[in-house]
Amino acid sequence: MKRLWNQCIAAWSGSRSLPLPYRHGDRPTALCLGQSSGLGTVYYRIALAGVLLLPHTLANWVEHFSGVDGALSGGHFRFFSMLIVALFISVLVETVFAAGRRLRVLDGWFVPAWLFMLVVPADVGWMQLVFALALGLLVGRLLFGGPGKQIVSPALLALLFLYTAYPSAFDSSGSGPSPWVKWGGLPDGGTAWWPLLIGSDGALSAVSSPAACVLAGAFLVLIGVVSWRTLTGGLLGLVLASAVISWVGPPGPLTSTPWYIHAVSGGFAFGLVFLAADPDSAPLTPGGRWMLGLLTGVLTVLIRLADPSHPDGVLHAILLAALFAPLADEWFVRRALRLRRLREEAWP
Amino acid sequence: MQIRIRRGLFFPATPPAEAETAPSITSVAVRADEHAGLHARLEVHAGDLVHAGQTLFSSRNDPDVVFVSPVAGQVHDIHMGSRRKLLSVVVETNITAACEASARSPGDNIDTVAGLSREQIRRRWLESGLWPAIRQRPGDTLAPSAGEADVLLVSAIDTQPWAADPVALLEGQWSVFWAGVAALSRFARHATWVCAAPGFPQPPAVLAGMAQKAEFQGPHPAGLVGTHLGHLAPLSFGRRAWYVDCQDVAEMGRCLVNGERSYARRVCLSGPDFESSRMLLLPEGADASGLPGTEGLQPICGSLLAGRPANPPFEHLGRFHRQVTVLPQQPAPFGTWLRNPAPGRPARVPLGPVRPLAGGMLAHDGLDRTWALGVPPTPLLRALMTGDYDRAVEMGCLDLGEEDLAIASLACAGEHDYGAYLREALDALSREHAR
Repeated sequence: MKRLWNQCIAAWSGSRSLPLPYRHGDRPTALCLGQSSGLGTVYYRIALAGVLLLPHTLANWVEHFSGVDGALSGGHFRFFSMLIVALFISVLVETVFAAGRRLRVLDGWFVPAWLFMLVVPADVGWMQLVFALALGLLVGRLLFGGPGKQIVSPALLALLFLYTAYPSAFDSSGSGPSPWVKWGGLPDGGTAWWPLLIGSDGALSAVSSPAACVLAGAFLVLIGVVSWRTLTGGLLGLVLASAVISWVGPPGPLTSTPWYIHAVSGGFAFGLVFLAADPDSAPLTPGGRWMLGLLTGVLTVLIRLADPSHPDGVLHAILLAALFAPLADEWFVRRALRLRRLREEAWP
Repeated sequence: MQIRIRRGLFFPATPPAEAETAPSITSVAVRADEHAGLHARLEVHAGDLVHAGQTLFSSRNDPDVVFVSPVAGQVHDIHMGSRRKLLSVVVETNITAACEASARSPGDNIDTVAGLSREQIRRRWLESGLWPAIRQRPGDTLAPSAGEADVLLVSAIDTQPWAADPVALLEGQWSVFWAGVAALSRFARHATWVCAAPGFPQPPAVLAGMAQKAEFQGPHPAGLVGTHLGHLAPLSFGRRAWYVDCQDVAEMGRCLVNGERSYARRVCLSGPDFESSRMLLLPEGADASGLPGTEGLQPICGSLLAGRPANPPFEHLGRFHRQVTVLPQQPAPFGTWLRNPAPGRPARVPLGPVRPLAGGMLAHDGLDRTWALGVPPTPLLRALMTGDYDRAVEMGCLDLGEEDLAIASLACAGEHDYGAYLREALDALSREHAR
């Protein structure tokens, strides 16, 4: 027991800041600035970008629980207590894995829980939260070995698990006190665009304010965490798909939804910035990043319009697109190799 | 030929200044650790008196390649690493460097060089200890004393943080520099390139057909040999590129023309928030820790990206360092006392056996923005990390040296030393190829 405890302590206090090592006999390499600050800095910035979304989320939770009686049932209280539980689950799962692997706790352990809490429907139950998050962390992150090695974002997997196992939590037509639509997909026709973009009340049809997501995306692109190619590609795919469908598809209110409504409804803005473009699972090549974005945009529109049982479709679109990303990467890498071989053969 | 590099990082350069002679230097070192794969045979003992130009150690694999003392003095210390690998030989002395400008015209000097046969040139450079200035890729190792290169690069551009302008480094030595280029071009089978920034003078007309200038313009990797090779002559197995730093080329020219060496080197002393940045004339391998004006500061041998703190016992400049970067002393980061106990003291928390690094690497866009080679960076770096050397070779790791990946180590937040991964890959490949 004592040993297990020591191992857990060690996992958290394991040497993060290495002194500049000079191993005798080795060649000196980049040691001064090259000893970079650690992945933690990247994750802190992603979490910081998430803070931009917090006001909208809190407003939703407060509104959702406004009709419920009881001393401890306010939206704020409920949100923050669930956030604490989510972080506790992350700590638990990560510590067990780190101690078992004799590694320090992986950087960014708090990010999946934080992103998950920002967009999870307020109807979510305590055990649903625990199960979804633990599964997302296990399958999305720890099974593959942590930062940079996972295939899809753990927060995405947690949301998908919740969506599959407890669809009632996502059901916008249910009997909840407040009819906030959220993951419910497209709004009714005739909704004004500006309220949708900002996410002001009365027309809440996105999981979080798309305007805040745009700001967060701009911040993340600016500091080099997220690729602008994925974001542009996503928007481009959305525009293309909705234009093509409104042109060739059967006439109807759904198929004639313009792209700018698609872009600000459902989880599209959030999903593109925080789940698809997540550097943890991002494609390795610039071309692959374009492909991931394009596929996400196109598939979102297709699933939304073709499958009424998935009114939002963003989560599934990102999942499918991310599974194709390694294939696209390999293709673009081989293309780069072919070009290089040509250059090698060009000089005598 | 003009090549524009679009991606990378712009770093501040050192403002141009006249080279001034530094006050006397009390110790110099000749380092063996900066040459990868060098197995050195010591020719002196601690306490021996040596004169300038005397052999201190030589290469076991290639006994003609010798490393000479740049000063007269007494061998003070011989640093050995693990498995008794020679790191450096320190010579105590008391000298100031001097380097007279060459008065002859480039044409006369080039004529002098043209009168020498290639073997004479080779012998002269080997005997005077100048041969180790030539490095070879693939491998980023010493050039073998026999044989020749397919392509030869003279590196006359520096884009590292607070780097000096090579035009200022070569002030007053142009005629010997061009003579050196003419001599070096005899060792290149296909082409000799002088890789330089747009402000660098064109080669004189007498050099037409021997060497040409390749102009590189743009942010940081524009000044690195790996970038130059990737654009001019991408390497594959069976092809060799040699490259030499411009100050060494001038010294090689001087050795042929005057028959003697100056052992002096211009080094710029600068850094962030360092007001009195200037250019110093120092003997090769000078002690960088006690330079005037740097009291209470942390000097770095080389650049911030690929250099190393000038702390004992490695306080001396290497052969390939063109600058000393001066940093303010950093306070220890918060919490260091908890995590990194003093040597020999127990940790303050009961640390179990924890491997230090988890080995994560994010494919974030910041890395791509600093990368100027034709292939995408993340697949190459991951191939190096995971030991997929076939893929790494296909992607061009043979062009690269450790300094080329220093910027990737900086841009990737994952605490990886990609230079070390590359060195492992190059060593493994050369072992495999030698069989």
